Amino acid sequence: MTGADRAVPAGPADPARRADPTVADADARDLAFEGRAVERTALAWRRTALALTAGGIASVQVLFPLVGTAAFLLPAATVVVSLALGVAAHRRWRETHDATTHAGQYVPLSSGLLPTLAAFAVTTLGLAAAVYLVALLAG
Amino acid sequence: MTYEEPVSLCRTVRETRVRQDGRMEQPTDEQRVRFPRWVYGVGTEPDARFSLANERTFLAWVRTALGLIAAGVALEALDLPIRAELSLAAAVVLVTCGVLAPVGAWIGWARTERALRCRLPLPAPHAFSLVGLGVLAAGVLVLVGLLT
Repeated sequence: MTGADRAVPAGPADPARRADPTVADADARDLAFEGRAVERTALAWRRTALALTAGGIASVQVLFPLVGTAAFLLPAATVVVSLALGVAAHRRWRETHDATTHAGQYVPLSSGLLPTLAAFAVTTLGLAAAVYLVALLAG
Repeated sequence: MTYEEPVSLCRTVRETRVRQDGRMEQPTDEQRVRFPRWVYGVGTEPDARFSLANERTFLAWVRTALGLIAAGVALEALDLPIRAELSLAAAVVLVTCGVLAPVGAWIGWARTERALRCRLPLPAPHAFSLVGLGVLAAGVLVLVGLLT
């Protein structure tokens, strides 16, 4: 984002609609609401990334007696995934936020890669927990 | 688990065109369909707020899955005054739900996004009953394990 991009006034993109005060007000309220929605979503991503990191780190306590140093692989992976999720979600929040507040447009979400990564990470953590339970059953 | 949708209402965004020389037309960056294709390849962009809400719902499911996994492991990792076999059974139920929930959440997210793009009714949340029953079963097992 350059300074020139940021200088675009808030409000509807269409000048005719921007000139109409009632439409401009309604659109500004809409965009403010959308801004909150974008923010809530970014916060939800952060919470999820934090929970994932916490889960990964807590798993060391349980897995270390069973597998030794290899138990650190899981938290390392969750920290990397959480960081990736956090950074990607933040970048997307920036883009969406800028587009809604400065250019007066709704922007579509980028892709389904982030949800896929998040679901994959948590499923992996769950499978590790399943392995732990199986190890308890066997031993 | 069948979800019938009127196909005629939901067309693909762009058709693959074959050029005169018989080769496939390469899509430009703008035309490239986002992943997953069966979601983003159909319909038109919905109101971004709906997409965002769908995404938050997915994330809430992911966190729920993390909670289920943590609860299942905690039942075994902590020294609790619960009958061992019942506590293990509850742990297995919780961890199973914790493994299935993110998968169900992802499928639910994708189907909802697809329905939003096609302006169709939203699919029913199937994972509700799975996780609900799982937590109920685990709760009963723990309760019985505590009391006997």
